[in-house]
Amino acid sequence: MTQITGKVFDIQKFSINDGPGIRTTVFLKGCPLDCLWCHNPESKGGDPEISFISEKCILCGYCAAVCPNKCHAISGKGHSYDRAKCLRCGKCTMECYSKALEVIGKEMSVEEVMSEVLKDVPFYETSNGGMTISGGEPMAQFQFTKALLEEAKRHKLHNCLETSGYAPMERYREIFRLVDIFLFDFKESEPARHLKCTGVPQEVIIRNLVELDSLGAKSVLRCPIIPKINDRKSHFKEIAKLADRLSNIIEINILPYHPLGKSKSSRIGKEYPMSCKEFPEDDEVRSWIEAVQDSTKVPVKKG
Amino acid sequence: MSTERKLTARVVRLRAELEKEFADVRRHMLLCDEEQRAFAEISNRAYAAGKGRPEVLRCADFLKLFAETMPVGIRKDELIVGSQRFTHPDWGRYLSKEQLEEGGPHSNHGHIIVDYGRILRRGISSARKELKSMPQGDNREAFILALDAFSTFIRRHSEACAQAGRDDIAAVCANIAEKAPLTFQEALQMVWFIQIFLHAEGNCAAISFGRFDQYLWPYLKLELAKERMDAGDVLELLCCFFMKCCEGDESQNLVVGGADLDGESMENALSLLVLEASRKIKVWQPSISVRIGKDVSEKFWKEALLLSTAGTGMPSFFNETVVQAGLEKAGVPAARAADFGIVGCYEAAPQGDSYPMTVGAGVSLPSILWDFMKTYPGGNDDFTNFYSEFKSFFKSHYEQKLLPSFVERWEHQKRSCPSPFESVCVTGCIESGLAAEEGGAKFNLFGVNILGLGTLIDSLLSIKKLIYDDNEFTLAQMKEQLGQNFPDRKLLLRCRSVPGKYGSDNARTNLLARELSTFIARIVISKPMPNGVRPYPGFFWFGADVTAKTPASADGRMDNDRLSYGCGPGVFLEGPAITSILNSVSNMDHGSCACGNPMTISLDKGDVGGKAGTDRIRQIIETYFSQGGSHLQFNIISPEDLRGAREQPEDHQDLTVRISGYSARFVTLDPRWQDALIERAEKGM
Ligand code: SF4
Ligand code: SF4
Repeated sequence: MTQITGKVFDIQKFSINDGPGIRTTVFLKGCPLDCLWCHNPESKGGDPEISFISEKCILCGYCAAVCPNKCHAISGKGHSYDRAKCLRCGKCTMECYSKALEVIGKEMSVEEVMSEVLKDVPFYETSNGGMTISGGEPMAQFQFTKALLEEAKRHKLHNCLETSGYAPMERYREIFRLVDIFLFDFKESEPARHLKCTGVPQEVIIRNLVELDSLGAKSVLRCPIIPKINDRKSHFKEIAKLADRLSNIIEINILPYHPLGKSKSSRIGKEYPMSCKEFPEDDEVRSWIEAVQDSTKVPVKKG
Repeated sequence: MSTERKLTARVVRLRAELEKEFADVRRHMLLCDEEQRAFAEISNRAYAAGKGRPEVLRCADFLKLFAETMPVGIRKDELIVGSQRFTHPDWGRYLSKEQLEEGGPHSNHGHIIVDYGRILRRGISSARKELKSMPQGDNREAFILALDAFSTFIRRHSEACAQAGRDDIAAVCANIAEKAPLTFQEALQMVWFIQIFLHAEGNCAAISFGRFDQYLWPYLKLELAKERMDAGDVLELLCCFFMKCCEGDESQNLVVGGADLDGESMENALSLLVLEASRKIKVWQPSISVRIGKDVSEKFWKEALLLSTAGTGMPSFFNETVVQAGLEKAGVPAARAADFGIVGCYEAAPQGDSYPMTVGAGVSLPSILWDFMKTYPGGNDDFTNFYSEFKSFFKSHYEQKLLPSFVERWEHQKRSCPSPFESVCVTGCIESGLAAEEGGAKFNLFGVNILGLGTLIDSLLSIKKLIYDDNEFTLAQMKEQLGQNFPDRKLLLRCRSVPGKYGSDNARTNLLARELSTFIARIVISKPMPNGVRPYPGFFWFGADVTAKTPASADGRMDNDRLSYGCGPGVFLEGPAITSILNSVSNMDHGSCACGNPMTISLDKGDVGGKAGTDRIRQIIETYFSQGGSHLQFNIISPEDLRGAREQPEDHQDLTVRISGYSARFVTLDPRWQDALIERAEKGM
């Protein structure tokens, strides 16, 4: 088997919202976008991060004993961790049995990932599920993503690929036959706003989507809706319009903003840029879904 | 559309009444103080008077007095009559110490499925004829007395109904006081009378209905064919019956669906109506179970899944072929194993002709490991030595200590409470002339309830890693820590954090689970008692996972803390998804454990919404069963809801949850159980 490795930040079993059936979602690290509301801040950077959850720390001091750079200091007052000095070597995390310290973005081989993914084959079989690759942006670790898709197909798994659409088209062309369904993100319909909220231009994303569709690739359009940022009528209309241009689209998913990104940010020592704290109300989400559904025949669902 | 059928006004009234009474008593049995008092006094009078008489006759005398003098009341609106609210009296409240010594009541094991079908077919008069053919003796006399008493009891209900102006029900009762029932209502009423009488006789729990949809089907089939009843009428009767079941015993199992020996599906309209009634009436009894075999119809799946999302923690799903295999290993021939029902929580037994004594004895694995460790010197060994020595210890402990104690338990039961009415109802007793407790039934089993497999596996993993692989501690240090309940907190957490726990779908741990569970189960199932009774295992000991006082274990569990539940993971498993948990647990030796290998999964409401959600439940069941799992049930509840209910019980009166083998109102539970349920829900179990 191929020796390609990739940075994986999570493998989530019993994943039921990332494509059909019961699935395993492989989250890859690294993303070229910089969305204000990112749900998975730990996936942004391409390098491993050290996550520290102080509530879990039992002050045993094992981490301090192995750290080559003396980043951990345990005292009566508690545990201080100096990120500035940290080499991200991960040594301390191997000693932390209480899982207060963990590496996010482990280097894993295709074989290692697949051996986890294949454990749930019996569930994929009864539910018509399979593997989903998500991120981060899987296309940012293109060789690894491709190798995973190939290996999964060798085992006859159903593959979904979640993507921001921000990658060179020739790469999509190289893998689209291995992907049963693209879970394609669509974040903002006004190009200027798109650039502002995500840090990248929107035009190339739409071009990629339309071309993939013309190649026969099936897709689900996944639209995160964030109050005060893109919960506009005009955006809902544009979502519907875009969907109507696609002949192989299965459905539109409306993904309501959830503020989990916030607490996750602090664990890896980052500021979370959003101030919105609340989960949107069910009624509000329903009104978004209706607004999109009013303008298209493509089924619209909560994702 | 059958699902559109509404409850009748009568049922709605009765249900509201039940809810009101429930709010008053705050528990999941609707007992009546007056009836309990009358019952206690009758018991005392009869048993005191019969002192010195053979036990079986004392019991029959009691039944006679009970039938003749127990106050009989008919409640407004009810279609099934006869009260069970006298059960489980707090004897000390009604009887003095002297009275109890003089005439303490007879109490049997319960946990049985009698041959309802046979009694329905025969009726009392034919059964009496059969009894007359028994050889002379105490048993014959007692059996006849008991049956006569039963007839009296039914007749008195007929009279009471007539007095209350309920002539229709009076006629139903009169028709079955001697003769065999002919209509569905008569048959159902008869089943309920049997149930009351068994409870009066036994002072016990978990008397279960078995394959209700099989023995009652001929009666219903006729009604439907002659158009004397429609589905709505049946639903009304079933609801009335289920509400009756909420009165006394909290663990009356009722199983529907399944195949016969040849794999031919035996589902019928009644199977579906039972599921529908349970879903709509939303009461906590009887505990509905379903048998899942190869040929489950789409209609059956649909009803079973709808019930599973109704929020009552029912039904319990059983993997038919795996359960059957377990019974066959315990010496039950295939034809009878195929006719199993579920007793109490999860224990399978052939219905009608077995005396399964399903809660015969408990065996705590973590305690045995600790006993072993205390005697094992260690030093200069490796984990393989440790493990194989532990297994030898277990084997000899089982054979030399436990098995003889089981025999003693059985013999004690035989002497102390031969039960004449139960024996009349269990096939084999009349033929053999023996009471069920004396081994009169065709199949005699003895349930061995094994506790804490998950805790044992995690403890072994921790010993292997920390002591033998990584040499972090010595065996002596570990023993010291366990003996003193972990004075070293760091070591405690070290133990808890050992990776690869049972439930995380770790290949090596799965192998260990497979090997160890097979080793234990086979020791139990392979050795009959000298008297021929067959012990049969289940990795389940009711309630003991929460209440047993068990010394600290090497998985980092402190003295008396909770243990793993059923055949599921230990208490420190964190993180794995339910698919990983089920993959792990499917490695157990389910096929040897007909006495129950329960597994509960908690799902969030959001995971099971709509058709996609119920399909998902089905996929989970089918996947687990295709891998050999024997039982699965669901709690569809979020831990937040449970926490809310604990904090504000007055707002959550009707929150019904699956607690072990039965469903109960969350607010009535002991706080220890509430904690256990919240913690398990957080982990998806
Ligand atoms: S990752 Fe390495 S350098 Fe950073 S704190 Fe841990 S041991 Fe020290
Ligand atoms: S090893 Fe983990 S638990 Fe121990 S002091 Fe370090 S962070 Fe805390």
